[in-house]
Amino acid sequence: MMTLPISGEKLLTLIPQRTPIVLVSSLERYDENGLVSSFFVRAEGVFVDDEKLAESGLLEHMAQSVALHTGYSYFLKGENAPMGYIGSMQNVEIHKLPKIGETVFSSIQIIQEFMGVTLVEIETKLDGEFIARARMKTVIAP
Amino acid sequence: MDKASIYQKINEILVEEFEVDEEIISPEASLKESLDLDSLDYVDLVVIIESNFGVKLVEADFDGVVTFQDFYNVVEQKMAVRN
Repeated sequence: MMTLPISGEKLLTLIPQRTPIVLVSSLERYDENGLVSSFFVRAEGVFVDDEKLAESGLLEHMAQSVALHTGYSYFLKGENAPMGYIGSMQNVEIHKLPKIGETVFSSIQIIQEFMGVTLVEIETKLDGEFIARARMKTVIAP
Repeated sequence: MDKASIYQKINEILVEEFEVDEEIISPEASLKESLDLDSLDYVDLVVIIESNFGVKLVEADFDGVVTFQDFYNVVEQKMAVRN
């Protein structure tokens, strides 16, 4: 049994990504309609550019947060985390990028799941300040 | 809401959401081909129907849906069950 928050090696059992492409540090809260994840920005991260997490890294963190929701829901069913991919991104807003040593928290809200496609809204905060948002469709690989 | 109003509202939201000309929508036309729907688009279709009509479509509802008329019928039946 895993108790929240989940981090480290246990977290890696819930997502298909592996170091150095892991951009979630913990699963803070979970319910069937959403979750809250965190990501601590490390200097050695491959998505770090000019002392900050790059936009691509922030979007990948959002996508991995969705994967984490899927992975944990499969864990609760006693199944392994599936592979998946980003189907599309819409309404992307990025107002600020976190620096090395900072931790962002992302809330995902599942809007709809249909025919293997999950539509989610993701909002990311840094020190309680809203810094980014996106609407994303993710697809579980058949 | 009568049938004509439901059909008209569906057409309006499809035109807006999928950015198609209203002229391509007719009861006999193919829903998938006319709106150029791919697998990612169906989830949008489900969301806009739920937000506009208060009914949730599931995968089985699309079994046998080929034309716009088929789709109108599904939404109409769902609304009738809800009421």
